[in-house]
Amino acid sequence: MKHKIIQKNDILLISAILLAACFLAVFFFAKEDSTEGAFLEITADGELYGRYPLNEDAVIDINGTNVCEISNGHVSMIEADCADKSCVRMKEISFEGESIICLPNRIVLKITGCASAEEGVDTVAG
Amino acid sequence: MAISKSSARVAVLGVLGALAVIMGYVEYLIPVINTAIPGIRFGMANIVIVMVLYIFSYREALAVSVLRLIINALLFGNIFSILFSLSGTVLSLLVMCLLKKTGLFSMTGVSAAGGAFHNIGQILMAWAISGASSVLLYMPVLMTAGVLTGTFTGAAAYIVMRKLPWQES
Ligand SMILES: [Zn+2]
Repeated sequence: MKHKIIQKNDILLISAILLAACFLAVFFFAKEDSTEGAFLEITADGELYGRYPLNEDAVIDINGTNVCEISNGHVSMIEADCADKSCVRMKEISFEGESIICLPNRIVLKITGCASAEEGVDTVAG
Repeated sequence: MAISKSSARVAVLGVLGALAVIMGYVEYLIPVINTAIPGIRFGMANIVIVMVLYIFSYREALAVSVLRLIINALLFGNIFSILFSLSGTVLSLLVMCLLKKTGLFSMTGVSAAGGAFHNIGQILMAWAISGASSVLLYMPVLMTAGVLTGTFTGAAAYIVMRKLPWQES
């Protein structure tokens, strides 16, 4: 037979396909993590204040006590009238499950996953 | 020796075709990892298909794989799975045929790529049927699975081919 059971070219070919699969996986993973379909959920005094899509930049005033900002899919508290201002100093959030809490004003900013998961829209077929 | 007489070709193709059907049955007996997409399996029959591709040509390989898909589906599977299997088989054979023609790769490499494209074809078909782009998320893992199973079936086909009196066409 012309060829051996496996040779350098085959290993290159197999590696190339595995690499392509890795790239695809990274691509899909990055897409999953993107702000598309994610929401900022604001809770004030234990009640839902509002839900805002992360892919639209916005500055949101919360009860006149706090102001938060959505910018490029990242959420941060930019103003607060609370004493410690720890909520303003907190790192901006962008991933599902992350939150910023202003304890004195009882305000929670939380990133939630796609709306579809809760609202039943856009169910996955197949 | 190369197979030249047409009666010999028919006989050998018949035997290999039957073997492909049996391989499909053996595979049917092996429990499958849950892939959520129908029709994705180890690809035992690919051992025979690769052999047919090398002993004869892509035409015979296509004929044997399509026939074995229909027979397997009628005997053990469901008709619906034929669509998935067929899309995978045709794409896989196309890729294997092209790679074989380059002369750069051994049966193992050709079969590995065939395995990957078999699953790619099935996912594209699943996408076309369901319209849900979410099935594409299976692509990386099924490509990897396809390459690995294709490598094993290709190596197996190589080992069997070495024991056969027929040469590569
Ligand atoms: Zn605060």
